Amino acid sequence: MSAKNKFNVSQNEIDGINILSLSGFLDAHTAPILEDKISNIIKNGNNKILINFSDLDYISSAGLGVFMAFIEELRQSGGDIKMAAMKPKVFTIFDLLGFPLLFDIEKTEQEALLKFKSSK
Amino acid sequence: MIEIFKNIFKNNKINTEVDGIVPVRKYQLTTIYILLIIALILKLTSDSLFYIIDQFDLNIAIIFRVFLSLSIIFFIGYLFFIHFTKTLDLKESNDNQKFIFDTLKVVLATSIIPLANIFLPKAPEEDFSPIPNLIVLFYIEIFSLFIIVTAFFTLSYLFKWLILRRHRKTKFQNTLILTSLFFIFITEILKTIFISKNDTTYTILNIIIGILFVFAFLLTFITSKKNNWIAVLPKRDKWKILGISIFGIIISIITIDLVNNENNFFINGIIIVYGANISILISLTMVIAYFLRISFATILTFPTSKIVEQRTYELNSLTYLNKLVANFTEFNKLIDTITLLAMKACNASGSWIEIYESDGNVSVASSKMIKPEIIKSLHIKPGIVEFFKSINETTIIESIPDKSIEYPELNLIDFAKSIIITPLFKGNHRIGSLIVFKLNEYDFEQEELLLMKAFGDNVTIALENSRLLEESLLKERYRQELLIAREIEQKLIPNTLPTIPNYSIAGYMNPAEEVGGDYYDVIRLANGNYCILLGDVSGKGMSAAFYMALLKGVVLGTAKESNSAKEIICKLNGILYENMEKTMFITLYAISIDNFSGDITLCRAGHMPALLKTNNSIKMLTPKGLGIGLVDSSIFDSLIEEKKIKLEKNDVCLLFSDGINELQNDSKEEFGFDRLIQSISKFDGNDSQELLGHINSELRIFAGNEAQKDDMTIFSIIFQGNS
Repeated sequence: MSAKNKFNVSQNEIDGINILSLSGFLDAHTAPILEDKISNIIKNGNNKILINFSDLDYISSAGLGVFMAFIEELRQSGGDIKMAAMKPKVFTIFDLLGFPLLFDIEKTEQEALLKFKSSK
Repeated sequence: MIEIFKNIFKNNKINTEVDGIVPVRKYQLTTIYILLIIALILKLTSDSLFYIIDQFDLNIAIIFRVFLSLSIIFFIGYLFFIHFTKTLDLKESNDNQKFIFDTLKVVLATSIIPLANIFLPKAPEEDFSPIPNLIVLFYIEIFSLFIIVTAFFTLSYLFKWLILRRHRKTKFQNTLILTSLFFIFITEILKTIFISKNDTTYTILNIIIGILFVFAFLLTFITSKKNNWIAVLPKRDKWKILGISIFGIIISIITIDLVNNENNFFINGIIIVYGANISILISLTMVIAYFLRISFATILTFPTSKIVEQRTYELNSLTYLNKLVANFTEFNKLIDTITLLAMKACNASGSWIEIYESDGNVSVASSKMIKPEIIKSLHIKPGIVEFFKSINETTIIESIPDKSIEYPELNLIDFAKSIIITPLFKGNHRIGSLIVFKLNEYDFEQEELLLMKAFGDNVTIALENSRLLEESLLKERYRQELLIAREIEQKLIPNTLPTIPNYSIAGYMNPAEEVGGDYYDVIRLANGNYCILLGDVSGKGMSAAFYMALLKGVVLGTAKESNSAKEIICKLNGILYENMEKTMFITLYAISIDNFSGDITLCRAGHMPALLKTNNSIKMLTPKGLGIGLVDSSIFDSLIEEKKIKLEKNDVCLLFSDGINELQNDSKEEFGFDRLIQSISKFDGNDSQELLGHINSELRIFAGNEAQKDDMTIFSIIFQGNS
C-alpha cells in the first residue's frame, strides 16, 4: 500500500467533544487503529465523539463495523458518535448500508458540533 | 606381508575405500580360517608325533615346525589386517573415550602373558629338556598361539592410533617401521634356526637386530607426535590415559623380560613355535615407544590443564550453540541453553536473559544459579533496566563497587561484584540482554568478553531465524485459512439453480484470494414463491466465511416460515443480530418472484443497489433498509422498505456485490457503476447466463492482470414474458 493510502487519525478536543479526523484508507487492516483511539477516549470518560471524514478516501465494511462497536455503549451513557464532511463516495457506502438512519451525518464539522451542543 | 601393510597406509582414508582396493570376499576369509585351523592341527599333531617317537630335534621335524609356525603367523596376521582395515574409522580420531578403552584392551591383553606364566607348569630343576611331557607341549603350543594373537592385536591397535592421528609423514614413517619390523622378524627367525649361539655371526646379527629395534622404536616415538588432543582433555581423562600408558609400559617391560629370560624353561620352549617370541617382542617394544610418548604428552600438558579445559569448553559450547542455532526449533529451549552455556563458558556464578517487551515490561526468559524473583526485584528498582538498555555492545563491568562511582545504579546489583552485559537484538530492535555475573571483582577475563559477544551474535541470528520462521508459519497458516474459507464459500453457493417458468436466472461468484464472504442463493418461501438472495458479509477471510455459513444456515431455517422477501430479511436480522459480533454485519438483497407474470418484490438490507434494465432505461433500485446485524428488530423492521415492481418482457434485474463496482485495474481505477450500466445496456438478449458471460468478460478485460481483491458476485433475473 502506498503512503498516500495509509490510514491516519488525528485527534483534538473542543468543549468536551473529541474530534477524530480520519485520512487515507479505513479497511480491515487499519480499522484497529481507529478502534484503539475510540476505546481510549471512552476509557478517559468521554462519550462525545465527532468523526471528521474530510480526508478519508475509502472505507470498507470492516471500517464501518468500528462505529457499530461503540455506538450502543456511548448512547447509553448519554454520548454519541456524529459524523461529518464525508466525500460523496464514502457517503454512498454509509448511505447504502443505512447509516444515516442510525447516525447524524452532517455536511461539515461545524454543523456536527452544533448538533452536539443543541442536543445538550 | 609388507605389501599388505603398505596398502593400509596407501589407502588409509576410509575403510570402505580400503575394502574397495583390497577386496575381501567372504569365501577368501573362510579359506584363511580353514587354512589356519589346518596348520594348527598339523602343527599340534606333527609336534606330538615327533615328540612321542622322540625325533623332536630331527631336521625334518624342525623344517616342519618352522614352516607351520610361519604359516600360522601369516594367517593370523592376515586376519588381523582384514579386521583392521574394516574397523578403521577415521571419525574415531575425535573419540577420546574410545581411545582410552582401546588402550585398556591392549594393556589387559598384554598383561595376560606374565599372568599366565605364573600358572603354567614349571620344569623340575634337574630336567634340562624344555619339554618334559606331552601336556606341557600342548600348553606351550596354545600359549605361543596366544602370544602371537596378542602381538598382532597390539600391533594393529598401535597402527590404528598412528593412522587416526596421522600427519603428513605418517605414511612414510609407518612404512619404515613396518619394514624394519619385518627385517627384525626374518633375521631373528633365520638366526634361531641356522646359527649357533657361539658363532660370531650370531652376535653380529644380534647387533643388527638391536639397531633395527632402536630405529623402529625411535620412529614410533616420532610418528606418534600428534598429541595435542591430549592437552585439551579433561583432567580425569588425562589421569586415565597416564595411568593406562604407564601400566602398559610396565607390563610390556615385564613381558619382554619374561620372553628374553633364558632361564625360563617355558619361554625357551616356545621356540618350538618359531616367531612367537619375536612377534611379542616387536609389538611390545613399539607399544612402549607409543605409550612413552603419550605419557610425556600427558605429563607435559598437566599444568596448563585448567585454562585449556576452560578454553575447550568455550570452544565446544560455541560449536554446540552454532549447531543449536542452525537447527533451531524451540525458542524457549534455545534461550535456556544459551543462558546455561554462557554461565559455564565464562565460569560465572550465574546468568540470566531478560527480555524487554513492547509494552515496556521486562521479563526474565531464563536464569541460571539465580532465582528469577531476585532479578525481578532488581528490575523494579529505578534506573537499572534503563542502564542495561543503554548498553549497546557487549560490556564488561569488572568491578561493580569501583564502577558504581560513575554509575550509581550499579549498586543496586547486590548479589554480584562483576558482570558482563550482552545486548540482544532482533533485527535492529533491542529485545533483551544476556547477563553473566561473578561474585568477585576483577574475575572476568578479556576472552570471556569476546565469548559473550559471540554468544550475543548467535542469539541475534537465532532470533532472526525465529522471526523468519514465525513469519513463514504465519503466512502458511493464513494461506491455509484462506483456502478453507474459499472452500466453505464455494460449498455454500448453489450448484444448480431451479427453473422458474418465464424467468431466466443465473448467478456466479468469483471468489478473491482473500475471501470476502459473498453469498447468493435461490430459496422457496413458505408460500412456494421463489426468492433470490444475494449478500455480502463484512470483513474478509475466515470470519467472513464463518458468518456466511451461519447466514446460509439461518436462511435455510427461516425460509419455510417466511412468505415475503421482507419477512425473511427481518427474520434473518432478528436471529443474526443476537448472534453476531457488534462490528460484523451482513448486507443482503432479497427479491421474491411473486408470480410467473413479472411481479417481483425487492427488499434491501443495506446492500448495493439492484440495477433494473427496462426497454428504454437503466435505473438503480435502492429501497430503504439497514444492514443485517446492525440494530435490533424493533428498529430494523420499521426501517426496511419493500418495493414491488412489474417486469416487462426482457427486463433485466441485476444484483451484485461491491466486488464488482470496486474491481480495480492496474492504474487503481474502479470499474464503477457506470461501466456496469454500460455493459448491461449493450446487451439485448434474454438469457441470464449469456448476460453474465458478457459482464464477466468486460470485467476481465478491465482488470487486466490486476489481482482481484474482493469476491465478485452477480445475479441476473430476466423476465422472458408470458409464454
